[in-house]
Amino acid sequence: MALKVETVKVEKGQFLVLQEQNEELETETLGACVALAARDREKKIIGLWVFVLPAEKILNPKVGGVPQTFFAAEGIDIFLEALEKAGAEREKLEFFAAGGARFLEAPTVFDLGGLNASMLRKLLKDRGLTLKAEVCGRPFPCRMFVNGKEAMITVKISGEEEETW
Amino acid sequence: MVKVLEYVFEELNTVPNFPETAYRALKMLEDENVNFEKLAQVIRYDATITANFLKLVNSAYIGLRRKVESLSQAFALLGLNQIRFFLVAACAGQYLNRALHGYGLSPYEVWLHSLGSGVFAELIAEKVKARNPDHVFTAALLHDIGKLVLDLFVGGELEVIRELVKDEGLTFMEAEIMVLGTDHAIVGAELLRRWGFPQETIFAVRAHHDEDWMVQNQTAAIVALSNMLTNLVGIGMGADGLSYRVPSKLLKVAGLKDRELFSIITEGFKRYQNIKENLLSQAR
Repeated sequence: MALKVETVKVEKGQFLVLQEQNEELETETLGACVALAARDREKKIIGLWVFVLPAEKILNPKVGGVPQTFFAAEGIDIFLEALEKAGAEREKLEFFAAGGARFLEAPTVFDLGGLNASMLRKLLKDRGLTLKAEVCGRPFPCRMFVNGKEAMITVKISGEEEETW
Repeated sequence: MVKVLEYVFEELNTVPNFPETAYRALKMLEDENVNFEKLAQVIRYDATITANFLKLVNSAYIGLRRKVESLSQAFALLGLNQIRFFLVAACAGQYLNRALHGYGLSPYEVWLHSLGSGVFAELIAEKVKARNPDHVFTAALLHDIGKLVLDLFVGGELEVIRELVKDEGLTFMEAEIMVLGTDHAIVGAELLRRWGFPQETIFAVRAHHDEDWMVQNQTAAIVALSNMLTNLVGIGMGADGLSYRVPSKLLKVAGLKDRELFSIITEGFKRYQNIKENLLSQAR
């Protein structure tokens, strides 16, 4: 008998690492937030993180009671450590990103999607890592899905063909 | 296109009136010395509004130490602006509770987008000490009400609208007008006019995607901004997504500085998440 697949929603500013093969992860609509999926095919470890802002230091004034994983700069090492703790090897991880929606035209301060995607590329580069694929910057609603059994990552953008990695 | 417009206006006539109870209560709340006992008497005859009001108050981020079980108890603990906010939110839930297939939204997402925009608007209005906070809340909570009417028509033409956005660089609203002869902001403003809302509220709904009109006054700017921030963080983002233009003066007219924007996003998202989680836990 086939196992029932459980779908778990990853909230913004949080991450989950899949260890049960009968689980799926999905994001809500991402907007300018960026979803980062990380996969170690050999160890069958797969994680999904959604961050909202590039770094806590851009807040003026500071806002208390927000998890570090809300921010790319503060959350990335927490996410990587959780993947390693689950058994993934950092050098074998593949990274995929989606989201980072951008307005058709807007002053720089509103280009949160652009800022988020650039920050993610920089943070990965600083750690000797790169994105294997990304779909960032479209103005339309986008979601990411992670299938534990197939170790498959899917991005659905409203009105476009879905991409699977 | 003329035929489509006729159908749109026929559909507009099918939307039920804004609840008389809420309208009377909002009128009473224009008086700063409103008698709360009389206010409770007016509202409690509408069981749905009363139930939604209490559910929202109990789920909110306002840090109540105990569960509020009656309108009188709630009024004793809330400020006038909070009462207005929860009252309109309680009514909005009656309309914004069905799927908008044309815009790719589930009933839950439609409601969350309205609530999210209301929460951001309330936060910005607090922060900048907005001159007319009650108009701000009402317009922010009801800004997409026109989508209820246009949904069916947008659904049929969604591909054409999307192509215009992608290939011609039009905003989603410009494409809506080009294809349907109207857009959801015009239709929403017309609904609010029929319901007898103040001109400032109607204007803010009409202007929420128009980059020239949204900077004509502070209420319109805050409502447009709260909708943008709700979409930026992806709360109930419809098929139109971010396919809009943001005028450079928007933050200034709203009363904010560029450097404050990211704190507003963070604080607003935190408040929204709190209300969402509590609403969900009450529903379980």
